Amino acid sequence: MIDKDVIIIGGGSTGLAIAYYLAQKGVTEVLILEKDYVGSGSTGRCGSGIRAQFNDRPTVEMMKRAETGWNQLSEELGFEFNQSGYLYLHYTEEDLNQYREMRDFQNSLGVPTEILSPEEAKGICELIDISDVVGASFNPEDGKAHPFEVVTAFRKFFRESGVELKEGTEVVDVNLRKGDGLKLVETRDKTYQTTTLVNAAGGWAPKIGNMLNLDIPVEPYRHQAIITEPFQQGSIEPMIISMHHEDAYLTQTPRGGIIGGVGTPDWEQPTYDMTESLEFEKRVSEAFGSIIPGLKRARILRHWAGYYAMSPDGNPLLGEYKIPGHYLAAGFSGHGYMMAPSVGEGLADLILEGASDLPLDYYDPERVDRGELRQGALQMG
Amino acid sequence: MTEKERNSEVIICRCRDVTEGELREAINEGYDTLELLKRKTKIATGTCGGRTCLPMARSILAAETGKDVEEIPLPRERSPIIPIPIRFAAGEKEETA
Repeated sequence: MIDKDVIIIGGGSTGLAIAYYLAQKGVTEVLILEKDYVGSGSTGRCGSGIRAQFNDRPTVEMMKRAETGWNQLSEELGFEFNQSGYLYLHYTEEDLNQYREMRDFQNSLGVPTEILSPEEAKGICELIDISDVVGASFNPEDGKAHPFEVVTAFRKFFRESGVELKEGTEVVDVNLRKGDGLKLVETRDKTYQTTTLVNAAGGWAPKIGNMLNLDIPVEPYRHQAIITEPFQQGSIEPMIISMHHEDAYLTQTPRGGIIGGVGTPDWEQPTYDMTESLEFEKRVSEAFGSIIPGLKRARILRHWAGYYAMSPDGNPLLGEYKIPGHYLAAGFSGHGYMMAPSVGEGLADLILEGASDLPLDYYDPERVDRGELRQGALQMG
Repeated sequence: MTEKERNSEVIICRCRDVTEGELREAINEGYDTLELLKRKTKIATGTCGGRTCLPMARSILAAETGKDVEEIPLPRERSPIIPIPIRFAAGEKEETA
């Protein structure tokens, strides 16, 4: 006997979006198992940014669709997707030229990225110190959505639609039943049976894989972020990026705090330790104060760490993996939150129809076993 | 006005202007742990870092859910303990600021 048509492990943006699109396509016998609370993993710890400014075709296509999805979701579920753009600041002609080429490429795929002069960049955010800036790239369709508003909106939708979301429910084992191959998903209270299992456990995906004797090529890398006290409300609308300042990214939340971070140093090793470090606080502060000198006065309120769940090539692992009816939606390498709507739509189609019009073949998880690694998606932070 | 109605306007979190009534409403909508309540209402995310509001929110949560206060876990504490200006975190000395 089957308890649920689909069981999704992980109540982050990925798992929630897959459940949402399954429900939209009429399948509501879905159970989401979340070991803590919705968004408690990488989703709630992310910088809230959503962008289509990437440098490879599949990621741009996935993100263009995701931005359409974010718009639809924000209307249907009632949260704000603020399309205030991503503004990349460039400090050398070489970088600027590289981003000119990227603009042409993105434009060819329907993403309206434009190159701006330093003065035009300042017109978008007056506080930027443009004395060393040579130009900027800006896509006005990129934006941000507050992760907790998003997961909360999904949570409310599930209550009304019949999708079952169990928080505080850790999966302790997964087994395949001999004979019919049903997946038996064990929690402390109950074992659930299903034909279709989705591993959307983010940085913890390998732990779920181990239960099925599968080696899932995902490693959790600690990544840190800060938020400041409210600072000149409405003064930093876009997500501001500087590859020149340790891949810094920063923007303002709806309540006025400045949220963001800088890149993970090379010496970081995979870890399940989410302790924040003073060393990061210094680096992020140097970067923010250089990009926007006014921020030197802003006070840091909180500092936390989360994961970039890295795959071997920095691209997601999406699709059926090794066992019929066992799907992976993992290894997003820092882009899971922003990509959630198209991943949700794509996986729902893949599960229900066996195919999707999104470029999911590119993300076939078994590529890793075949040694077909992709070009890494443009990374920052 | 009943006592409960009077209390409903009492500010519990003065950093974020959250009232007792708003907390009870959120708890009844299912935000029934301090981690969820923090993210829903923004209590404990202001300048005081939750020193003022968390003990009170914990008592309200205990009363609404019929639990003992000690049964309700506190959210994780975050660095820095007091808000520090970015210029100091970056290593600037006070006199140059």
